[in-house]
Amino acid sequence: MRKTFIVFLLILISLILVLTGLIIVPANSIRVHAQHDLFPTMLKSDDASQSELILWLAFFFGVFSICLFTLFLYIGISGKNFHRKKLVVIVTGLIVYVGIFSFGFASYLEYIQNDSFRVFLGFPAPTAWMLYGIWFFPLFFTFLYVVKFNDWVLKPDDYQRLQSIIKSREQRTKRRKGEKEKRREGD
Amino acid sequence: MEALRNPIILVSLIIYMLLCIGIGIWALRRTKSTSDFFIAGRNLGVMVTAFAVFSCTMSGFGFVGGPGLVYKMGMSSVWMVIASLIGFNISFFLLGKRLRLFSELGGSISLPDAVALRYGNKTTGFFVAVAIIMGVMGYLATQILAMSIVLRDILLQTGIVESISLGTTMIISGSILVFYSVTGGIIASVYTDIIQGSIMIIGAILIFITVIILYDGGLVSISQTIFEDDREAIGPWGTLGMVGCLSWLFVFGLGASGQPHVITKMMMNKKVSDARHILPISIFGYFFSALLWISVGLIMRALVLKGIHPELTSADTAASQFLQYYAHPILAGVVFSGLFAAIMSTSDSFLNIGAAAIMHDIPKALGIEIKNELYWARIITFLLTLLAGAFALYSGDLIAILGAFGWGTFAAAIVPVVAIGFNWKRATPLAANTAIIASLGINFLVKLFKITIPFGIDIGAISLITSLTLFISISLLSAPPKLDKDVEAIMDI
Repeated sequence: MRKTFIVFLLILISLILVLTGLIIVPANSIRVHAQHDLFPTMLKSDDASQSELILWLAFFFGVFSICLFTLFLYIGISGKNFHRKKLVVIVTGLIVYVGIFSFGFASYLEYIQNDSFRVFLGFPAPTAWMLYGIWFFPLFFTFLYVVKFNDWVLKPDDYQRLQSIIKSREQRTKRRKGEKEKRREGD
Repeated sequence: MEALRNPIILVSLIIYMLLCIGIGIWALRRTKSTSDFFIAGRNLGVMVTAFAVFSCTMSGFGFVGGPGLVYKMGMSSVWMVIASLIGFNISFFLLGKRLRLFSELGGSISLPDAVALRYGNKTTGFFVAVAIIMGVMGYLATQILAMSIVLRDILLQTGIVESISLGTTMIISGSILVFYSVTGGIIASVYTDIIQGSIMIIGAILIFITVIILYDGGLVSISQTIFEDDREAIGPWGTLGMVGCLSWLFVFGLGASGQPHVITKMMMNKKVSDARHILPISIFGYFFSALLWISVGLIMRALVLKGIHPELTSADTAASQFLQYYAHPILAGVVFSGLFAAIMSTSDSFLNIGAAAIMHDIPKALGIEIKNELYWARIITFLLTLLAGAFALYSGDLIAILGAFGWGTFAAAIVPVVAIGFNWKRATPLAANTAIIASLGINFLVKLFKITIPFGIDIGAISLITSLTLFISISLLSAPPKLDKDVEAIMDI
C-alpha cells in the first residue's frame, strides 16, 4: 500500500509541475474566449491562447488526471493483500483510457490545422473521440465492478465478518457500561 | 393542443407538487427515529438508492445551467457530464462498500459521524460538518433561488398571474420542499427522487429525440452550423479551451466522491452488496438525463446562429425557451416538472445533510447531548430552509460566492478525508484536518478576492490537488496512527 501512495504522490507532483508550467509559461493571452461578434449572450473561441506548448502541457495534465482516476479505482479494490490480477486489469484499463485520450488529442491537432468538416456519428472527429471514447470507456470499470464484485469488492464471507465485529463491539460496549455502573454503585 | 400548452404545463407542475406532498405524508408514518430521518434506517432498496444517487447529482444545474453553458460556450461544459461516468465509478469503487460498513459499525447517521469513527477524532468530524454547512448554505440558497425563478417564470408564461414577486414564489416552492422534508426526512426525499429521476430520464430522452427530428439534417446539421460560425465551439473543448475543460474533468471526475449529499446515500442501502447494482443504474440514469443538457444547448445555439430563433436574453433561458417554443405541449409539461424536480431533489438532499450537521454532528463534536433528536431535526430542517431562502433573497454577491463554493469545495475538503482516508489506514487526523482547512481557505480566498486563474483553470482543481498533496505527504511523514481495533478490522474487509 505504501508504494501505491508514493506513486500517488508522484502523480500529484507531476500535476503541480504541469499547472505551474501553465501559469508561468509565456502566452499570447491567458484569456480563453471572447464575446461573440453578433450574439452577446454567446462566447467564441480566442485563438491567441492556443499555443502548441500550452496544448501539450494540457495534454499531460489530462494524462496525469487519467492516471489518478485509475489509481483511485485501484485503491478502492486493492484490499489488504497484493493481488496481481487486479493490478494487471486496472493497468490495462489505464493504457486503453490514455490511448483513447491520446488519439482524441491527435485528432484535435489535425482538426485545428485542417479546414474540412468531417463527422462521425453527428460530431467532428475529435469531439466524437471525446464523447464516444473518453466518456464511455469508464463503462469498462463499471463492468469490472459488477462482474468481479464478489471476488474483488466484497467476498460472501466478508459480511459475516462484519456481523461478528459488530457483535463483539456491542458486547464490549455492554460490558464497559456494566463495569461503569458497578463502579458508580461502589462509590 | 398548442392552445392548451400553458394549462398543460401548469397542471403537470401541480400534479408533481401534489405527489411530493403525498409522499411526505406517507413518509411521515415511516419516520420514527433520527436514523430513519437521516439515513432511512439503512433500509433502502437498489432502485430507490440508485435513483436518489443520480437525481441528486444531476441537480437543477444540469437542467437549467447545463444547456445554458452549451449554448454559451459550445462543447466545453460537456466535460462535466463526461467526468460523471468516471466519477460514479470512483465513488463506488472507493466508498460503495466502505461507507456502508462504517455506517453499520458505528450506527453512524451522517458523514461526519462516520469520519469521527474512522479517525477516532471528533475534531475531524467537526471540520467535515463545518465544510458541509458552508457548502450547503451556498448550494441550498442557489437551488432555492433557482426553484423560485423557475416557478415565477412558469406562472408568468402561463398567464395565471400578471405579476408575482420572487418572494411569493419562494414561499410557494419552499413550502412544498419544507413540507415533505420536515415530515418525511430522507425517506420522503429518496422516494420523491424516484418520481423526480423518472421524470428527468423520460423527459430528457424525449427531448433528445425531438432535437434530432426538429433540426433539418439532425445532429450533423447542428454541428455544421456551429462549425461554420466557430469551429472551436463544436470541437472537443468548446470556447473555453483544452486546459479549462480538463480542469473540469479533474474536479468533476475525482470530486464526485466528495459530494456529501451524494455519498451519504451510500450509507442507506439495505445490503452492502446492493452497491453492485446501484452503480450501473445510477450511471444510466445520469447518462439519459444528461442528453437534455447537451442536445438543448447545441440546438439553441444552432437555431440562433441560423436566425431561426431570436437571440436569448440570457444563456440560462436556453432550456425554457426550447420547451416553450419547440417541444410538444405534453412533453414541455413533463420537462418543466423535471426541471423543478431536478432542483428539488438536490435541495432536499442538502437540507438533510445540513440539518444533520447542525443538529447532530457539531453538538456531538462539542460534547453537547441533544435530547429528542427527531423533533429537533425537523425544527432545524425548517429553520435551515428559512435561512437559505432569506440568504438567497438578501445576501447579494455573497450567494454567488458561496454558490460557486459548492462542488469544488466539497471535492477538495472531502475527497482526501473520506474517499482516500476510508481506504488507507496510514491516514492521520492531522493530515485530514489540514487538508480540510487548506481547501476551504483556498476556495474562499480565491472567490472573495476574485483572483483570475489563467486559461480558465477551475479553482477546484487547484484546491483539490493541494489538499490531496497535503493529506498524503503529512500522513506519510507522521507516525502511523493507532486505530480502533474494530475500525482496523473493517478497513481490512
